[in-house]
Amino acid sequence: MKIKPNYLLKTIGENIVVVPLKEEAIRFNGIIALNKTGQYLFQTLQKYDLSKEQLLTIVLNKYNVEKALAIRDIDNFIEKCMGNKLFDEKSI
Amino acid sequence: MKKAFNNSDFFISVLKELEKGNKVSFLVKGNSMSPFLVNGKTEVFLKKNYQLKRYEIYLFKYHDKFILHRYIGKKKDNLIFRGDNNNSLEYVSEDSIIANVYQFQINGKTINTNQFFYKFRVRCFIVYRVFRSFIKKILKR
Repeated sequence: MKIKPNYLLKTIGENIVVVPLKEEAIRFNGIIALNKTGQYLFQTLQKYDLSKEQLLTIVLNKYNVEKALAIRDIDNFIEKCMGNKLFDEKSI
Repeated sequence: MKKAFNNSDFFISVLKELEKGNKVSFLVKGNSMSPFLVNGKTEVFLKKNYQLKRYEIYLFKYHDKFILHRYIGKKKDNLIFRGDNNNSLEYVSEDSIIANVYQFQINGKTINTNQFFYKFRVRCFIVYRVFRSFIKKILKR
């Protein structure tokens, strides 16, 4: 899985959001809110094409969390990305 | 589910992007620019580099609020703005202007504010507004 290049991470107040870049404009109407873990996963998948298992390893190495919780966060993130078509189709 | 943001936080982020020279877009909130810009339906596209032109739409700061209205004229050092659906006027200094609407999208249709037909429609609407208020005054008598 890899994030399409035309999505950017921004902050609105204390919120972390993803906004699409389309037709040369940053589209603030297409906002997708993320939590801290989501932000980290998004930034990672902007750079690398990784599987769910690879993501889990990275999250477990970075955060001191239970495996079940990390899996749930990753699943939520993937579901959100799939729902908003954030993944490069070639990488799924 | 769409997340709602604090209006001021939202515009601070929009301003940051405009300052960087980026073009931005967002959905219009409110009906003050109806019929051209429709609440929750019209997506406006803005850029910071612009030449001030009469009857174009600008984003500006007015009494600590961010407003998107049409520039209709100048009085001394102040620029005069008004919403197409409003009667009240806003007098602002030129440095209060943040960006210009160069394009908008509604119902899948893109309208460039430089298009001849759009400009023609705006001018017709402005004439109609004057005519409408004149008729109202006559009917009140």
